[in-house]
Amino acid sequence: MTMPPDLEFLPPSALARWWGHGVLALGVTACAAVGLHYAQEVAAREAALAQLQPAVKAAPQTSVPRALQAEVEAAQAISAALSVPWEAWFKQLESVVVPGVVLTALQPEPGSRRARITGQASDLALALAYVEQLEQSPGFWHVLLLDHALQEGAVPPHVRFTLSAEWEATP
Amino acid sequence: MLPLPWRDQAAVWLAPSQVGLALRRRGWRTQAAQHRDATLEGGASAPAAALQALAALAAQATADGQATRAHTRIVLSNRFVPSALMPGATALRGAAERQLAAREVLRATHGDGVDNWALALDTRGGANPLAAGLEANWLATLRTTAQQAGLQAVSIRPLLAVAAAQAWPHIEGRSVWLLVTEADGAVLARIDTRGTWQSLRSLVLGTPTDADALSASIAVWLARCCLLDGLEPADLPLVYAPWQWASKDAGQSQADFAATVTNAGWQLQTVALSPDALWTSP
Repeated sequence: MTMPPDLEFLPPSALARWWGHGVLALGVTACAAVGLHYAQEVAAREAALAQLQPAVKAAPQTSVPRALQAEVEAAQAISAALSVPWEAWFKQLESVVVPGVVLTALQPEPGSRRARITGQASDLALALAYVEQLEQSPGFWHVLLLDHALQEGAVPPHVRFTLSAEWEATP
Repeated sequence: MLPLPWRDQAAVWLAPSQVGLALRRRGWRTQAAQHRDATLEGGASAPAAALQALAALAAQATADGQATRAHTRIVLSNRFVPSALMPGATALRGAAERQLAAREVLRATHGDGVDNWALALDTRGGANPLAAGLEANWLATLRTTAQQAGLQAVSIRPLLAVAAAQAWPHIEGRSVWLLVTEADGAVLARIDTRGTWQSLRSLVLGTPTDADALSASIAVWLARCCLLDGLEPADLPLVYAPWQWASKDAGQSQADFAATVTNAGWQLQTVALSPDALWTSP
């Protein structure tokens, strides 16, 4: 693309010469001012957020006294024990009947659905039969015979046994 | 009514035999330019007389309450601005070398007086850019005169540059003759397809007796220039840019000239060139 000749006897004025530079400088200054103001606003916002959330950040660093921690754990255990439907568990336990077998003690284990059951049987075979029947009863699982002992001095002689059973919550 | 925030516009035409001032107010509604002109005797004192006439016209405009501090484009007659081509300018390095070369080219024709000239160089041209000169004191006086008359000069150009800019859409990409005529003379340039100026010749017209004589003298000169370049009139189109400053019989004289050169075998293409073109020119 060709251009016509530009014969011009009037030199460009100083105002025209510096006009473009002046506008450029003004624009750069305005951008810098806006950027500085933005940075200040961001810093102020972060400072305000830091003032609003000190407790949340400090909470994990506070130490709990041991006595209080023990009380908390006990309360949590009680809460867990209370959450087990013991009434239904007892009724289900009573429904399992083996002649010659009597239960003498029942002790729930804290923090779990497991209970320790103590009883007497005429002989070991009846005790094992009770364990098997309890295992097959709905709601019980992991029924284990923990120990047994023959009471030879007792009249009539019998076997003391201890077992543990876990209550399986039914939907 | 409050004044509008933009400047009024003015055009000044300075020639040995004519000085003109056109003022146009700018605003919500574009108004027609108001022309003032004065006829001069010409001769050796024409440059100084032209400045005096300009001052008088501007004083009249100010007295009539017309625009002051208008953005003013000043167009100088080719008679006031000797021009030449600088062959081999592409080998020149920098503005200083171009200034020196332009001064030497003009010195070859106009003598040592060019040492006191202000030069204008075409920086857009190709191999043969244009160089023009103007007596520096006269240019300074012109700027002072315009400033004292309340005119803020934004451009001072020779008519050749104004005409080339106006006619360039018809020239670009073609090999043409460019003929610029005014009341006191004519300039003929040959431009090739790359926009390179190949030749430049000027004609000084005396006091023409009538339009027919003027057309005939220009036609003869055109034929001579064509022969000097080794061409026939029909070889290249002729882009004709007649400068008319508020001339009432311009249309008829242009038609007469067109008929004359067309009969001589030229392919004529006329480009309107008037002060109104200055308002839209870059």
